[in-house]
Amino acid sequence: MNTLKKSAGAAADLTDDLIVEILSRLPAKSICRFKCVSWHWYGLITNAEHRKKIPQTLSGFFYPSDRWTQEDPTKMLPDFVGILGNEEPFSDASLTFLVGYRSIIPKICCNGLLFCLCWKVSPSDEADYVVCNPATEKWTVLPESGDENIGLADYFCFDPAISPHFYVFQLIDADENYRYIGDVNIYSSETGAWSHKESGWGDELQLAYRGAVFLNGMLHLLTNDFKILAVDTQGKKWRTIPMLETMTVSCFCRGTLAFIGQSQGRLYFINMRASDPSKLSVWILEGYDSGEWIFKYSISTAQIFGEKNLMLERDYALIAIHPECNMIFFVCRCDDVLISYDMDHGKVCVICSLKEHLYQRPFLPYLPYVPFLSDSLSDRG
Amino acid sequence: MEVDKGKGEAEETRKVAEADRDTVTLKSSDGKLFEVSKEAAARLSTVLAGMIAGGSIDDNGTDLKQIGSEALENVVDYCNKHANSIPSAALISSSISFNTAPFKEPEEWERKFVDRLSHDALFDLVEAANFLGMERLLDVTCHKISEMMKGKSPDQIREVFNIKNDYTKEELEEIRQELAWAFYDD
Repeated sequence: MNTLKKSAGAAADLTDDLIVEILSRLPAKSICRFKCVSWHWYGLITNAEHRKKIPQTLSGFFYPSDRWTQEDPTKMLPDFVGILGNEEPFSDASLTFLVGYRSIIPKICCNGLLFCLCWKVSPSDEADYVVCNPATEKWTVLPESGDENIGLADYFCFDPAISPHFYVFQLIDADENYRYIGDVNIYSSETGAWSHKESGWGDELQLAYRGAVFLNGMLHLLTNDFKILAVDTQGKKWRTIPMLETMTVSCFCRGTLAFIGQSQGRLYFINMRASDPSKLSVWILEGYDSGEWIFKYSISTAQIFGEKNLMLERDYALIAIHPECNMIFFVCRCDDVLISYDMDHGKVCVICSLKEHLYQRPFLPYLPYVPFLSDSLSDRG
Repeated sequence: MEVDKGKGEAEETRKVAEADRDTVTLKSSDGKLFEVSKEAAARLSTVLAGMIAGGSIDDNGTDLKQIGSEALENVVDYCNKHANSIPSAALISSSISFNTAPFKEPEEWERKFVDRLSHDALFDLVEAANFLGMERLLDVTCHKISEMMKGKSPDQIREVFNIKNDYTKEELEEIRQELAWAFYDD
C-alpha cells in the first residue's frame, strides 16, 4: 500500500514545467490525445508559451481571400479556416502586420512559415516575395534572384527539425512552351543570397502544375514523366525517383490530376484513376532510399461526396494530407465545403462550409498550416 | 595544550586532504551519505558545480534536503557511470555535431540505467535532476518517461500521473470528436 501511495505522489508532484518538458518530447499525435487527460493538461498544452516547446500539428488552412474594393479591384488578403477549435496561435489571419502592402497572396506554407506574394501600397505595380510567421508576426522580404530567365515556379521550404533556415527554389524554364525544367536558383536564409545550380536531373522533364513536398531535407517535385524529382537545399544532391506505370499524371484545366504530399515522414502519391475517374489511388513511397512504391488505398469519391462522376480539379480538389495520420482533405465545389476523409477507417467528415465560393478556376490554394511558435525570422516590424 | 594543538593540526591536515579529495559527499533528505566524483558532479550538475566553486560543500555531507536517498543514490550512480564513459560521449557528440536537434539520443548505458528504474524512482529522479540542474540526466529521464507515454490513452495517463478527470462527458466528447484521428493506434 505504501508504495502505491508513494507512486501517486511521485508523478503527481511533478511541476508544470517538468510536465511540459516531458510533453515536448512526445509526437504531436500523443500530445493531441493528452488534451483529454484533464482541463489542467489541456491548459498546459494549449498555453502560448508552452506551445513554443511542444510539437504542433495541423491546425487549419490559409487561403487567399478576395477583398476587392472600388479603388483596388485586385485586392486579396489571406484568410484562415481552422480545424482545431479556436487554437490558432495568431490574432489576425489577414496578416495586417505586413505593413506597406495593399494585397497579400499566400502561396506556400511550410512548417509554420508562410511564403506570400505581396503588392506594395506604393508604387502599386511593385511586389515582393515575403516570408512570414503568422504566429510570431516576424517577417522578411526575399531579395530578387536577379535571374533574367523566365521562372517556371517557386518553392518554399522550411523544416525546423533539420535547420533553422528556410530555402526558396526558383525553377527556370528551359523552354518557354512546354514547362521543361531548366536550372535552379536556390535562396538560403542562412547566407541571405541566391546561388545558381545547373540542373542535375537531365533534359526534357515536364513539371506538373501542382505538387511539391519538402521531406528529408529535399524538395520533391511532380513531373508528367512518371518521375518525381528531388534536390537538396545545397543543390548538391539530385535524385530522380521513378514512379510505376500505373501512376499516371494527367492534367485538366491547368490542374494536375495527381497529388504528392507527405505524412508521418513518408511521401504519398494520389491520382485519379485513368480507367475510372470515380476512384482515387493512393501510393506510398515505402522505402525512401530504395524507391519502392506500395499501393495502399483505393478511394471511391462517390462515398466521400455522395455523388458520382465527380472529377478531381473540376469538382473538387485534394488539398492536403494530415502530417500525423492517413487522413486527406478536400474542398468541394458543389457545396463549398471542407471535407476530411480518414483513409484507414473510411470515415468522411464535413468540417465546415467555406466562406469563399469555389467558382474560381483553378481552385484557390488551401495551404495546410502547422504552427511554429519560435522566433527565427528577423523582425521587420 | 599539546593535545589541543595536536587536534588542531590533525584538523588542518584533514581539511587539506578534503580539499584534495576527488570526491564530494552528499546527504539525502533522510540523512544517508553518498560519495560522488567531484569532477563528474561539477560537470553534470550546474547546482553542484556552483556549490563546489563557492566552497559550500560540507565535508561531512552536503545537505540536499529536497532529494530522498533512493533518488540521490541514482544521481550519484549516474554521475559515477558518466565519469567512466567520457571518451564515448565525446566521440558521439563530435560525430553528430551537424545535427541541430538539441537532444542527443540516450547512449546504450544511459538507456539501461533508466530502464531498470520503477515508475516511482524515475519520477523522483526527474525531480532530482531538475533540482540539481543536471541537463543531460533531465533529458534522459524525460525521454524515458515520454517513451512510456507514447501510445497510451488518456485513461492510462491519468492513472500514472494520478490525475482526476475533471471534464464533463459532453466536454470530453467535443474534444474527442475533433481529435478522433489522434485516438487510433500509433
